[in-house]
Amino acid sequence: MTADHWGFVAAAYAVAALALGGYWRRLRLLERGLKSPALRGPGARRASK
Amino acid sequence: MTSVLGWLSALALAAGVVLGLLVAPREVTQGNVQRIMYVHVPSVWVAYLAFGVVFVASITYLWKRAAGADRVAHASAEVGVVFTGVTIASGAIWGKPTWGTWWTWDARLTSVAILFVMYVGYLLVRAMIDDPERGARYAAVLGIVAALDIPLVHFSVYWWRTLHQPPSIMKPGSPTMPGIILGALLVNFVAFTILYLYFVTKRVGLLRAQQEATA
Repeated sequence: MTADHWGFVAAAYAVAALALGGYWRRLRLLERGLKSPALRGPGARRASK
Repeated sequence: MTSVLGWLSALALAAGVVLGLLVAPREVTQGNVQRIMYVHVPSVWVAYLAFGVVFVASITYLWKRAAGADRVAHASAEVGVVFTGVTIASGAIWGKPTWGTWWTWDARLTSVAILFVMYVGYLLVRAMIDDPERGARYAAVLGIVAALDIPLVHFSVYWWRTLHQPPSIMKPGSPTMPGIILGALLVNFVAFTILYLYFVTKRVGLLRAQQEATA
C-alpha cells in the first residue's frame, strides 16, 4: 500500500498558486502604476494635456 | 479580449483543480501524490510554448526590427520563467516522496535548471542595458540561443540514463494512460495555456503602454 502524501500534493498546488497569483498581482500593480499620472512618464503627461 | 481570457483561464483552472484533485482516480503505484502531475506537466508544456514563442519572436525582431515582436518575446520570456519555476518547484515536491530526494543532478532536472537560469539571464540583460534598442537586440540573440536547450530538456530522458520518467503524453504515438486521467490532464493543459495567453496579452499591453509613456 502506497502512502498518500496529501501534504506534498497540497504543497505543490500551493506553490503553483502562489507563483501564478504573484505574477498576476505584479501585472495588476504595473497596470495601476501606469494609470496613476504621478508614475507615468513625461510622454504620457504631455499626451494627456 | 484580455478580460475574457482572464475569466476563461480562471474557470478552466478551477475545473482543472476539481478534476485533478477530486475526480481523477488515485493512481495505483504512486498513490495520491501522482496528482502533482496535473500541475507539473502542464507547467512544463507552457514553459516550452513560452520559450518557443520567444524563439520565433526574437528571429522576427532581428529580421524585421518590429517593436511588437520584441514586446511579445519579452512578455513570453517573463511568463515562461514563472512557469519554469512552477515546474521545478512542483517537480522537487513530487520527487521527495517518490524518489526520496528533492533534487538530483540528473540530465532532465539539470537541463531544466539551465533553461531557467538562461531565461532569468535573458530578463537581466533586458533590465541592465539602458539603450532599449541594444537591449532588445542582445536579448533576441540570447532568446534564440537559449531555445536550443528545449529539445535537450525534452529528449534528455531518452539520451541519458535519468531518474525522471520518459514523457507519457508529449511523445509520438498514443498516450499510455487511462482516459479519465488523460482527460483531467488535458483540461489542465488547456487551462494553463489560456492562462499563458492571458498573461502574455496583458504583459504586451503593459509594455506598449510603458514604452508610450516614456517616449
